[in-house]
Amino acid sequence: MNEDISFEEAIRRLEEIIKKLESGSLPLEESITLYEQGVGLIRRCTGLLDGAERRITLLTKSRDPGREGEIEEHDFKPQTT
Amino acid sequence: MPAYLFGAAHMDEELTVIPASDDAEAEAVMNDYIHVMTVTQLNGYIKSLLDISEGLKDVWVSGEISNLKSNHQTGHLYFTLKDDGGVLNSVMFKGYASKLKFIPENGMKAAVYGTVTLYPKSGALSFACYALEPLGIGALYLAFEQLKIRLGAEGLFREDRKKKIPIFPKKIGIITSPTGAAICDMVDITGRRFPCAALQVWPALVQGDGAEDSLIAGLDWFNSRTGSERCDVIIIGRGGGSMEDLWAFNSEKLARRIADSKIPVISAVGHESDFTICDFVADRRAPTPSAAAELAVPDSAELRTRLVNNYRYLNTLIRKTIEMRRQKLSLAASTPVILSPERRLNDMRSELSVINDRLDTAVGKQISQKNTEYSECLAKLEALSPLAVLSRGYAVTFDKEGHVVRSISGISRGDRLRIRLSDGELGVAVNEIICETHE
Repeated sequence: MNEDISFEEAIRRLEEIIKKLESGSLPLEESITLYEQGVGLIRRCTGLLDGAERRITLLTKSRDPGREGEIEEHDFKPQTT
Repeated sequence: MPAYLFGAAHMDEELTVIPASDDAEAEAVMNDYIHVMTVTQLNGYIKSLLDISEGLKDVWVSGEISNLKSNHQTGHLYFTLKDDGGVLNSVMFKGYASKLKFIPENGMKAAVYGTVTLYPKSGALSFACYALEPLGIGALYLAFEQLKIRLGAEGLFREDRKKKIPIFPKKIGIITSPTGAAICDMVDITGRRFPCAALQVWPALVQGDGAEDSLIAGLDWFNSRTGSERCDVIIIGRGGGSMEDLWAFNSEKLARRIADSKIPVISAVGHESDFTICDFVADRRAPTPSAAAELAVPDSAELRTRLVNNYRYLNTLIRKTIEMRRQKLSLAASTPVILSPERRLNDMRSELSVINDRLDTAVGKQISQKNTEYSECLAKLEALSPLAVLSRGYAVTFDKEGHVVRSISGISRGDRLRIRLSDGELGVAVNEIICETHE
């Protein structure tokens, strides 16, 4: 299974799997494969929610010679004044 | 006739009779004769009087705007300010007119700040305005209302124009001041609720000169990103302030950019009670920046509960599926063929013999019927056979070529013939021919 899928996509697939399993008309083998996929998707979502490193960036205009005015991204932590 | 007793219309006449070598001389002569000014001089004199008159300089005048004309080429604004007693021709030059937040309209009561002056060329008295304030209602508020009505009529606020805010954004673009409570709140709240969303902050001027351009630059930059570089939703906003402070968010240019944004925009300007044009045109209005952060991302605590429930439900479903299969299996195992295959075989055997018997009976009956038909046929055939006729005493005569002899004609004495009887043949010779005569 693709590990890079978004939260939204994971939830969408999970709902699809549940719908298929609910119909109860699938061969046993397929049901079990779907179940395993479903559990994998739930793990993926929980992992995303545990949110390893959240990236917050500030967009600034570059002052580097030759790149003046280009937008650069730098890590950012807002400070209360 | 002394000229000074008469009106100006007669002055020209007088002038024509005065001999003059040149204009300067004529003027000098006139000045000796009577004080005569040129129109330009008089207008210039009036203008200078007006210009030094403190009471006509930098004054506020109130009245109703009418005959409003805007010169599209020069950008100047011409109108008449009137009240019950009179009218005042007014002009507002481009430099001042372009600073107006709202659009003056005919019938609008206004207080105008300016100076009375005269245009020597037209001789017209004019009130040159530097500022114009609507009466009874704030200029900013009026401007806001006017723009709201105009953009509303264009359909920019229509619900069907609004884009859906994604439920699970991967990346959020924030256009606001990089300092202050608003950005801190948004970073905190999104982090607490949905930490898997990345934030990109466009540091914008949120008030004063340049704020409009700065906000627009942010929108344009986010919209210029493509593919995974592009954020899923934009929050544009700032913390609370006066109507003047929030004014940049009432910009028509910004409103149109928000309407054109390919990325859904959440507007979060000021407090709950503050409404800006930006709020109306955005795909979603949040009462405050904090509320915008809550709108932009789902709550991970809720999501976790949902995921746990999903996990339990999946387990239930798969258990049910397996249980169902198990039941089917045990049902199948209890059928006779599985329990005793031999008995089933015997059953089939006896069934087979019954079928066999039925087949025999059916076939036997058909055979005896065919036999009867056959003997009947044979009897019929026998009855028709010439042998049967011979057996009754008849005979057939053949000549020597083997042809049947049917008549005495052609037969001579001494011819040898053969007679066929029922059980054999006789070879005979003809010794007498008797002709039978018919009566």
